[in-house]
Amino acid sequence: MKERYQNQIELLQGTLDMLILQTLQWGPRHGYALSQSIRTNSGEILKVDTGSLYPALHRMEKQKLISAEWKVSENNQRTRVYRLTVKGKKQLVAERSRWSQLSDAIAGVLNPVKSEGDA
Amino acid sequence: MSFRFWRSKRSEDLDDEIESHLKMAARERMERGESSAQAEISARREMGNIGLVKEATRDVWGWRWIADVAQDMRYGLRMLRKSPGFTAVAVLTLALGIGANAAIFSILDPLLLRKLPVRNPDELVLVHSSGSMDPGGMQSYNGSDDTDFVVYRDNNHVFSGVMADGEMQYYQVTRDSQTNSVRGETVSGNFFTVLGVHPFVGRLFVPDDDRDSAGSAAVVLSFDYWNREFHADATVIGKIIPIRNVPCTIVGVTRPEFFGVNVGSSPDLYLPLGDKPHTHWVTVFGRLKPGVTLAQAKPDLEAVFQQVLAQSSVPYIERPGSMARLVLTPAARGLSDLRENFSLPTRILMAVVGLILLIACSNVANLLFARGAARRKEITVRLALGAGRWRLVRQLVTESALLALMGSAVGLLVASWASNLLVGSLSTEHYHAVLNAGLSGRVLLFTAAVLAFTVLLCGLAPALSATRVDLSQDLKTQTVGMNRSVSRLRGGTLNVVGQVALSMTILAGAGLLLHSLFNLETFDVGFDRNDVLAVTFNGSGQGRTPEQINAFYDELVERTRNLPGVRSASISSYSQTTAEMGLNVAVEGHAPIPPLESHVFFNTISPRYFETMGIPLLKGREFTSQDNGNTSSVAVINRTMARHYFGEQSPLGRRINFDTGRKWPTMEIVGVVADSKYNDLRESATDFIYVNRTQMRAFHPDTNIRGVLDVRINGNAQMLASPIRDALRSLDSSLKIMSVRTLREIIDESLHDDRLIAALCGIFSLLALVLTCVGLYGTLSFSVVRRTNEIGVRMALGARPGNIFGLVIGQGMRLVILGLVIGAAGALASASLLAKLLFGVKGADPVTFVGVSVVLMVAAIVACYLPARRAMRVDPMVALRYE
Repeated sequence: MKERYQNQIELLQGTLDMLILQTLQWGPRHGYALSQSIRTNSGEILKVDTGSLYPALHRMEKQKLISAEWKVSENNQRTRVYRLTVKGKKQLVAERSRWSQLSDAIAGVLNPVKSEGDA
Repeated sequence: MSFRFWRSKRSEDLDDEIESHLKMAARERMERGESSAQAEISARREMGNIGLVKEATRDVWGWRWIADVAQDMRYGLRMLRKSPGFTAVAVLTLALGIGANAAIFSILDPLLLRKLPVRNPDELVLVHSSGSMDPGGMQSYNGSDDTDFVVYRDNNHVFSGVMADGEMQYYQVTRDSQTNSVRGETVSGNFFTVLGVHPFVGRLFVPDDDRDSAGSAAVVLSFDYWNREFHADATVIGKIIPIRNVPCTIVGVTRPEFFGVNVGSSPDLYLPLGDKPHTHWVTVFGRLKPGVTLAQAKPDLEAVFQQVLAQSSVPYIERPGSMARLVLTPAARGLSDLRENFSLPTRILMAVVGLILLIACSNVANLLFARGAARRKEITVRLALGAGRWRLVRQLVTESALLALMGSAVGLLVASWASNLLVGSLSTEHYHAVLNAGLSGRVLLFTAAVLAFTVLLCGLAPALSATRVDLSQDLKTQTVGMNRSVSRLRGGTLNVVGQVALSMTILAGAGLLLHSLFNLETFDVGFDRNDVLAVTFNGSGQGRTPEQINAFYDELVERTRNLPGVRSASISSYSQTTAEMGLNVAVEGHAPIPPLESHVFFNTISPRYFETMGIPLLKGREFTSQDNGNTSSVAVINRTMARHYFGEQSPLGRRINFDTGRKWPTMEIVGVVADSKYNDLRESATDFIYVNRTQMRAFHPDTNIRGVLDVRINGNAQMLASPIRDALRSLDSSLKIMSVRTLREIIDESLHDDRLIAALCGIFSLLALVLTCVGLYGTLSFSVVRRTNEIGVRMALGARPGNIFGLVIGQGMRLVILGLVIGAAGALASASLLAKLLFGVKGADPVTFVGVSVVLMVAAIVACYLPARRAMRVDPMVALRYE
């Protein structure tokens, strides 16, 4: 049942968490704004499904990576706003460095540098 | 409560959060120019299944299962309340199945499994001896003398303690000038310390209590007796009560759970063994020193056993029979006559109730299958709306779990009642069974396990089947799904075949036991059990000369004979149903044979005994009044003995003597009578000799007046009981009349266990039969409902009601016959388990098998009849419109 709610472009395991943490770095946001930010910043490529977003948010809240509070938005709309915790910031640093290692490694595999050994 | 509150608060928060998400999404779309209605729809569509989003989110909160279980329970209860008929039938069925299991286990556990409630029961060892006289296969405790006990106690190096347990006897206890008979057990002074048990109040025995001091003794009361007779009054400690006219000081009370070392009986009081040698037969128990195994202890105890033999009072001639070797038996579970008699029957009953539980489960599973089919529409819709299949399975299983839970609750009520009844029915007039049965923690645990098993068995398969749907197909079908009905029906028919097979197995077992009981009751015991009264009397002959005593007996017989309704009367030392005395014989002119083989049981009888008992005289003559102290001694032997010593030759005129140290006249054999059963209907024929009473008393004068007055009567035995009592009293008013019973009553008591087991198996087989018929009825009814349409078509095409009736009956009976054959095979295979309990019946007894098959078939036809009649009355017009 859960597989039905994975994103159109499949995010790698744990990637959604990193994207959420990264997006929250710019400031507290509610769920809808988060999904819109990720979508816009990815050039409309990454669509975050609500069926994955909210479980992720609630899970990360439980893990104390983010915290949540109720706020009233400019349109007088009661919304639940998430912000990064200290633990979440540390987690983001760790995940970013892991990600850059991973993407370097993948890039290395996909575009091998023509080097000394090649004849 | 707080959990539920927290949970609902968070759920509301989540609702708000999602709602705000949707609103914001809609607003943004409106800002881009969509109409408000369009924007809302798009926002929702974008989000997808809102319920599922929420559920997936709630999942990460954890503890979801608690909420789910609670929800399932509420939902399940609501569904069960909506169909009370179904619920009642299912709960009742499971209650019978589970209750029967709990009840039998509540007997089996204390009888066979539970260890004695003493310190480290695994260290206890029963120390006894055995020899060639032991009945095969049975555990026997050849009693030790109290002096043997002392030798074991003082000379071993492997036990941390050795104690002795005497025989249970009845004691007369006088309180408030009232004398009651209570059960007392003599135990060694260190009995309680070796067992490691503590008093409830006061103290228990110490070794010093064994020292007989001037006719006074200490007594320990059992908790139950103290509670019953002394109203749990702690101030009775130190008081003196006369027991058998000996003043005894109450020193303490045992704890409630303590019942001694005999499982199945419980003494009211404990008395010290005392230190007079050779006064008690005892059972010796040792407690192994920590770390010593039985095998390690054996050599040391063998050496002690030699010392025991060296001082034993048992004559050498008897030793090969009972004291040939030392036997050490682990005794963590204590001793138990009850266990010996009921071990096999209890196991068999446990197996039977296990099978009944299977039948009950399969019935409930059938009901649930049918229900699943009826709820197909609902389930399909729920699955289509995105409900998880496992979630639905869990919910359906929760429903069966609720049924099983209610079934267990009712079942335990039934069991607690039945358990008491069972323990009560183990007792006889002469044996009082006390068993810590009832609903102990272990029984509850066992019931919980049965419950879990029940849920798995009857809940899982229907739940899996009900949720296995083809969405696109099943959504289109409007009514009870016709598709797939074939496989589901097959499940039901398989159940019916299985149930019939199990029932057949149980019925056959019960049938064999009943047949065996019938044989026991009607078996030719060699004497007339119906019309003979045995009157046991006991009195003092003081002040009478031997001649006067003889005259007393003659007068007694004469008076009895003259009573109306009496055909003949005679006197014997023992009742024909108890071969108490045995001796070795030597036959003149016959080569000496080993003592064990020359052992005969004997009875001393007066003239016309055989006529009175209805024992056929095969050769020679009975004793007459001419055989007396002045004529040569005569004897009558039974057929087995005649064959044993004389083969085909005539024993008449041959001379025989008892091979004992005592002076005994040589007797001439004057008659041969038919064999009869002496102790037990199952015993094989044994040598038996009848000796003339008058002649024997001439050699061994008895100063007491005692014996059995045997009276052959016409008509009602109870009517004659009181005239015979009067006749005895008028001769000697001091005479005690111990019992007045017909031989049938005496034999019936010996058949008590057989009757109990047969009755229980009979009841359980009836239960199995009823459950099976209910199952058969249910399956066929369900099938008729499903086939209504088909039946309508058949009738529209010209089938007559009779054909339809035959169709349904045929469908049912095919299953029944298949099950019957399988069950008969199962019964044949398992009949060997019963062999030990059967009498005069083989495992493969055709009469029994045909009989129970007929019973089963008749019951099955009745069960098939109703659905078949309903099918026959189907109105084709209605049926065709039915889909």
